Amino acid sequence: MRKVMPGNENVARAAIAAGCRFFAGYPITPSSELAATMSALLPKAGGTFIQMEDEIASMAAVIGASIAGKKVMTATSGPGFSLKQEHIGLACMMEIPVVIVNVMRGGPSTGLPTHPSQGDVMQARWGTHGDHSIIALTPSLPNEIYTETIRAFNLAEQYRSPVILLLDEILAHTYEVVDVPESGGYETANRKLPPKGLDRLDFYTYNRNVGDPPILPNFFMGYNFHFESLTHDEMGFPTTDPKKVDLLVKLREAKIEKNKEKIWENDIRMVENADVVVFAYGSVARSGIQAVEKARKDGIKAGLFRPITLWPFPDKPLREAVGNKKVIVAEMNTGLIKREVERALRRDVGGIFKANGTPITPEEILGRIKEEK
Amino acid sequence: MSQESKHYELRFSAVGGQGLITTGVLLAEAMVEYEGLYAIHSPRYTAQVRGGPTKVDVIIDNKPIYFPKTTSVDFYLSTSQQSFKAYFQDIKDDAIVVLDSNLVDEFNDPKYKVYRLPLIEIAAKKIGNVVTISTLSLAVTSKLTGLLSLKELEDFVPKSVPRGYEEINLKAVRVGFSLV
Repeated sequence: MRKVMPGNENVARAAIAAGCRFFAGYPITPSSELAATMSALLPKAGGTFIQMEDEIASMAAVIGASIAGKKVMTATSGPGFSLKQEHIGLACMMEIPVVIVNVMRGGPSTGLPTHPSQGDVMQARWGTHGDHSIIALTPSLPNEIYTETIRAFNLAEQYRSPVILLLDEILAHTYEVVDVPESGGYETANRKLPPKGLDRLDFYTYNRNVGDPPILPNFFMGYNFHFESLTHDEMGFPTTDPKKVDLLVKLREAKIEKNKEKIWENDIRMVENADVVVFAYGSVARSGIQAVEKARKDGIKAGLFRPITLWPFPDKPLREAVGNKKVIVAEMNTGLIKREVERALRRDVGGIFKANGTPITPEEILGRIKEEK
Repeated sequence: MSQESKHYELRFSAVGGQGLITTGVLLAEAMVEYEGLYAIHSPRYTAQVRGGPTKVDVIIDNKPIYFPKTTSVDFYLSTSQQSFKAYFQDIKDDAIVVLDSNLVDEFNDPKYKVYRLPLIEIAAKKIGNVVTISTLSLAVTSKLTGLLSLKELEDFVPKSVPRGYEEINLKAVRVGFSLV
């Protein structure tokens, strides 16, 4: 498929290729075209599209459809992402595979509906309350938006976790060439299910190795299993037994933390012999690529570290790649991920931070590279 | 477009609802389909559904395009005085500037190749439907820049517009090519 389309349509097409067959959402700029594309294409693929009464209900609907066995997605932007947080926590607690697309716009509140931002990166990690692990992906390039959408579904299924696909207004609205194999060329993962006919499910659900995702039944498999938002025991019923609570917390965290090496994807360019390294993700990374290529042409040893998996944060790969080199973080917020970079590198770093609705240009990054080298 | 660089930047500015975002989409799609190049269409509009200043940047290149906004504009078309002024930035010295003569004030800067045409009036009266401003502008742009031929547009436009509107848009293409 070689087609000119906006990022929102790109995600919708990739989701269907990944096996998504249920979408519930509530339109909001700049994600609305994603829902519109799903409403047109999903029924033709044998799936179901529902426009719910709001974002809270759409998040609940995708959780229900996922427990019923479908691969599911919802899409929103800042204000709607805030509303979805309660049920994102429910999906974390009940260990339900769901893909949530958040097309970032300026905030807080209704903010800058039609302008780009990367202000929700911390909300993606910590937006829902309580200790939890989560996966968030930040693709930058058109073909990558397609393949990372497919990966979002695979990770959700493999780790039985919400996966957040973070785009921004620029990536969502820019029409550009997407050139990818139509379908069939992609590996798609499916959640593991218990075999039919077991007497009890407790072995499969909680007596698992630390680091393994649970094996849970879908609805309609004939098992009595309780999906519960309270801290629960091996049969899914509420418990406050500290030992069981402790185990559940540990299991939920470890299924992602212990598999970070498999979940991380980074694009690391020309870092080995670099004097200065640009750290950027999402649409800003595109300015980063252009700036670093120009700097190299001008004889400056610049490199790029571009995380495609933002959460769990790639602290170890960043430390290993960058070492003591100078780092410039570029992001469309007041420096939210800079803190993570500093935590990973255990030192202060500089950057370009913009939260005024305008993109960070290659020239701005290049100028900063020239100051730093 | 020069052979060695193959990089061309266009900007269209208007008032929300006038239809120039569609012009940009059609241009980008046609450049990919007929010229085999990379093209990006990057819109900017306000939260107002209609009436706010809008612009769209189109970049054409023979290599993948990373930064999706224009920084050195070769061609600028506008159908609104407010938007024309708001987005008159990064325009190259020898750029082609096309202005709707009914809606944009006199502008005579010798640095630019300025064309003044009553585009919306032509769409509404001569072609017969104001919505053809999208394809009329596409034709004017193609003719002035040489990016697409009349033949290519006659093939592309009918399959890219809503069913039932093929003929009137073809008329807009032909009128657009004859204007400049």
